[in-house]
Amino acid sequence: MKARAVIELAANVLTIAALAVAAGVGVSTLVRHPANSSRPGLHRGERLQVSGLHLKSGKNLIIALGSKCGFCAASVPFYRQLATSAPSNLTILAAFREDSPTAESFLRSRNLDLQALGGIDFSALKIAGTPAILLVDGNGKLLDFWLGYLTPDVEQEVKRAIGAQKAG
Amino acid sequence: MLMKVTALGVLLCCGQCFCQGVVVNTKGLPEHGLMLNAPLNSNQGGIATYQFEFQNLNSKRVVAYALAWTYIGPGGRPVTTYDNFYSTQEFLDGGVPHLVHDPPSSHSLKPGEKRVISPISNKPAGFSGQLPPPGKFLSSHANDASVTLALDAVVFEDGTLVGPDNSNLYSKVTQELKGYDDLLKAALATQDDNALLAMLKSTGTLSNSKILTNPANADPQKFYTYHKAEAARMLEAMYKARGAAAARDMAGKVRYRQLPTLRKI
Repeated sequence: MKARAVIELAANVLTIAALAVAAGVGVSTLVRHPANSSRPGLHRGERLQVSGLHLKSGKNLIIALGSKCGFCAASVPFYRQLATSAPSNLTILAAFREDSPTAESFLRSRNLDLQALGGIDFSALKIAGTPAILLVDGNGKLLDFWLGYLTPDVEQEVKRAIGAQKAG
Repeated sequence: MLMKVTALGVLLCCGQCFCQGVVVNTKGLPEHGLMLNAPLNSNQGGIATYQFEFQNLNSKRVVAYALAWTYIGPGGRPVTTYDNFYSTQEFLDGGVPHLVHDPPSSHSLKPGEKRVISPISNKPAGFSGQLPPPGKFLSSHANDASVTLALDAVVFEDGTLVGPDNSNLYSKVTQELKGYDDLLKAALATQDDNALLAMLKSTGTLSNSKILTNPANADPQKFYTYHKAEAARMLEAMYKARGAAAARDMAGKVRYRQLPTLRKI
């Protein structure tokens, strides 16, 4: 009974502390960011900060993933189709904010044969969430992009954009 | 205990999402000189977040365009809606009389011209619904993670269409013109007056305006049926007002031949 009381007390203290933090964050956010405020995102045609990605000449498809991202895991069959139908002038990179071993483990466990890049600064790429797909040229110019969990129609659009050799 | 821990998680998650704001992305067609500029006064928040600028830097006039608005909510699943902006007249071959009054395009953009684009202030072509009031729109998008405005299709004055055209603007325009044209041909081919009236009545009931509250989100086949029915109702009204000869005369005068240069590139 005593242990239960201690746990209850700890839970109460944690809840109150969290409320205080959340209230503080909320108030400061409201002051700095009015409702529906915006942050700059991706703009087709702009040049991205791509240091560390080692882009190849031709086209590069950067697939931004996270090991804990459910939609990333759900999209693996589509990524596999991309990997197998990519034309020769296209390089596909699987970029993770997490470290390289985590990135490689994610790909290996899902039998996804892509080049893994861990420790990527997503904010430099203006990626706000995963999954995200960026098509860039060898100089980092953003040719196109697709965000979130894609519908079959949009998946076809991605294939058309990369010039996939087999329409799946 | 479990409830408290869950509440803790929800609180921390919401705080994180809230402080980020809506990420604003644009997909112009810069390779064709068609620019979409992000909101200039985005720090204001509110509806300013959704006010984009469409600029035509091409040397040709833009006569029609389709926009794609993609919103990603807190769940991460994108939802896309389309808006089409065009006048049928821009796609017709020659200055012939029209069955349906469609004024010269107010949607066109001359070379160098800019236009502010917003989901609550630009009424698309054929849109018969109500645009959402700003307050309702903002509250329904208060928790969005991002908004992306894309130029889905753009038609230049020479008939060339550029862009992915996921909204099927090209197919819808061609189906619309075909719907009108097929009805007119059928009317001219029906010699018997009673048979003509019966045909117009039955075709006119094939579709009604409720099907196309926002034509941009309708499929091309519905577009064909809708416009064929619309033409039938107009000819039927003429028949009832002035008789079969007047209806046939009208059907013989108007033409809905598609601009021969209309093509996707």
